[in-house]
Amino acid sequence: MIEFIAEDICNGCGKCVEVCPTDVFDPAPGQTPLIARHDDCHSCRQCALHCPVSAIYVTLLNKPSEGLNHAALISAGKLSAYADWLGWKNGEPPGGDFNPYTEPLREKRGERPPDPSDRVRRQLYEAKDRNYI
Amino acid sequence: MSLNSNVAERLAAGVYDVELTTDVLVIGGSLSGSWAAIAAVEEGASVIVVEKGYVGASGPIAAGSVGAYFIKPDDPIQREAMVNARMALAFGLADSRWGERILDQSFRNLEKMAQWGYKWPRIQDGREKRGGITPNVLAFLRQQLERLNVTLLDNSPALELLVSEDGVAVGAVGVNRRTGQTWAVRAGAVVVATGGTAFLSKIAGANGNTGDGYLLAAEAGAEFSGMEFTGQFHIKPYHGTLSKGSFRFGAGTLSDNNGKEIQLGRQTVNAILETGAAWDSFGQVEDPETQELILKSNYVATQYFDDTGINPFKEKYRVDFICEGSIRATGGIAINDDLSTTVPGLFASGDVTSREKVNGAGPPGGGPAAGWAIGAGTYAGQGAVRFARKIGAAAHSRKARGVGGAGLRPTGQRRDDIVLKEVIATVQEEMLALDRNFYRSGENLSASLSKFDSLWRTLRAGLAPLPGGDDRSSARNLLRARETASLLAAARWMNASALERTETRGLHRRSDFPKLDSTQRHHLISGGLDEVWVRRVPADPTATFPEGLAA
Repeated sequence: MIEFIAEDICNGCGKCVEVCPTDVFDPAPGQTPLIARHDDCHSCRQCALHCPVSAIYVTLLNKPSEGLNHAALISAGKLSAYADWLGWKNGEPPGGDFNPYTEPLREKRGERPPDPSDRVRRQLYEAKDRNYI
Repeated sequence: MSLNSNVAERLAAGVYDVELTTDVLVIGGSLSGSWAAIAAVEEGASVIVVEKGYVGASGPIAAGSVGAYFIKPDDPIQREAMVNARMALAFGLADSRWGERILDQSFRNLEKMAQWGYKWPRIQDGREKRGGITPNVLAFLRQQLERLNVTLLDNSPALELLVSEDGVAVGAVGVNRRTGQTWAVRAGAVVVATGGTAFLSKIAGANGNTGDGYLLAAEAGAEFSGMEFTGQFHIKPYHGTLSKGSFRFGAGTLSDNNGKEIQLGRQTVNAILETGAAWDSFGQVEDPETQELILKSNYVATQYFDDTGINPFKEKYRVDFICEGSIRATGGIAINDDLSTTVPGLFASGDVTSREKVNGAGPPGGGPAAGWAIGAGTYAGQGAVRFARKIGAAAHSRKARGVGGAGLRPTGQRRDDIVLKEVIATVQEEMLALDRNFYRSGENLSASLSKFDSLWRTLRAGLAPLPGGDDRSSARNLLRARETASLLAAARWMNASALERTETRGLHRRSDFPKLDSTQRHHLISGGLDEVWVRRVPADPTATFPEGLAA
């Protein structure tokens, strides 16, 4: 759920209000939008992605968090962690997919060959290397 | 009727602040709607996309990531694997020919993205890994829609379809939920791509998915297929929101509340129902570098561990099985080869449609579902253009009326005692419960149906727009009412279909009929609003299957 918009970082652009798919915010032109319908938030994090100044903190939890230390979260970079991971900068999408961790993990873990009687997994396993272009 | 009237009064009187005409109207601007719009504009049509949220930032895929299936044109082994991957789970209700055409188109669209400049990730040998659908893909598609001069109406939920006197879908009417303005779009054809519904189970990105398109389409006369194949639930951390099984990366060991090891799937559900909880642990992964890669490679989901401070390599964490409803399941609006519905001029694509042709009794999984959204989107957009061309400019001048019922045009006196939250809670009590919707029984289904039917009668007669209020809250209230009616309607088609199928097949599990019954290899078509009906249609005798999987 969305937890807070850091007022001293927010530039009042209203982009979060515009992109929120569940209409969580009430606009406050030029100011920090109000989290008016907290319970409607479904953790999609689109507000945080589109925020040009990384002022919004959204958890992947379905309940509000208690006792959050805003300053610590901000200085630890948690407000931009998801956007950084996806490669968004200043609220703009990167035009590609750059996850540098998935392939090294696959190589490291290897892929356990599936149970030969599991036709679905076996065929997919055999096709795996053929999916690259 | 002056423009100063209440939003609901303006809608009732057919007074619209914004009136537009177009060849093709697409309702819903996530993955499938975007591809439908792109296909239509590439055929030379004018296109408008209306989206309840923000085009390119809505739908469950705006919060997640899946690897969309596709088939390469030049690799028969890869082709066979992808087309047939889910056939063993389709229980005789799918058709390989459909798998081929959908996943062929998925390949072409992913290729198109590469040509437009989308950077697919590369592996060490330089080859591209295509098909990873993330928020980045949706945002990129929005940029393409803008470049192609598609008109995008964000924050503009459609509240009802416009239907001509001879029953043709010729547009839609809605509101802008930020400004409270009313809008009407007249179109030569309409594509509904509003997604499925998880009944507000709060899985990430899915609470905008309230089944709106089901109700819009049904009011115009559309039918559904396979609505019993919707008992889809998936693993997620207990207080987490993202139900993405792959974040466990093969690392997890599941156990019941007594510490006994269990498998993912029914055993997990049984552990929750019978021992009170299920737990996961990544304890078998000891190498710190691998641990870090597991957390980093799927941060879209593993942010949960960041948020909670749980170290899954050191401690077990509680998991849940959450309702994904028709989002990652196969049931939905019945469609023909060109993605048309039973309503002339109305097309459908993505999660809102029945995916039985590719996935049968399910489950489709996220990858095939994304492949369907991409491929079917294109066919729906093309089909809509063909229809619009046939009708020509006559579409815009044809006499038409809004066909929205529940929540818009009550048949009786307005009742003030209808509390939408309570209606939703009643629907959720049935649809989110593992012991009622993962495992179904005739007794529970009958009881829930009679409860739902009586609730529907109350809503249909007495749910009316509130008078007064500012435009924005008035628009929001109207939308809430329609969303609630949609959720209730969807639950009725699902449960009525589930009651009719007295066997266990794929995503439909009957505790009172735990076995597959080979005489029930048919589709269940459903529909109706005040009276819900279900009828059987034999499986397509010309459908093709891989050897041994005709079930």
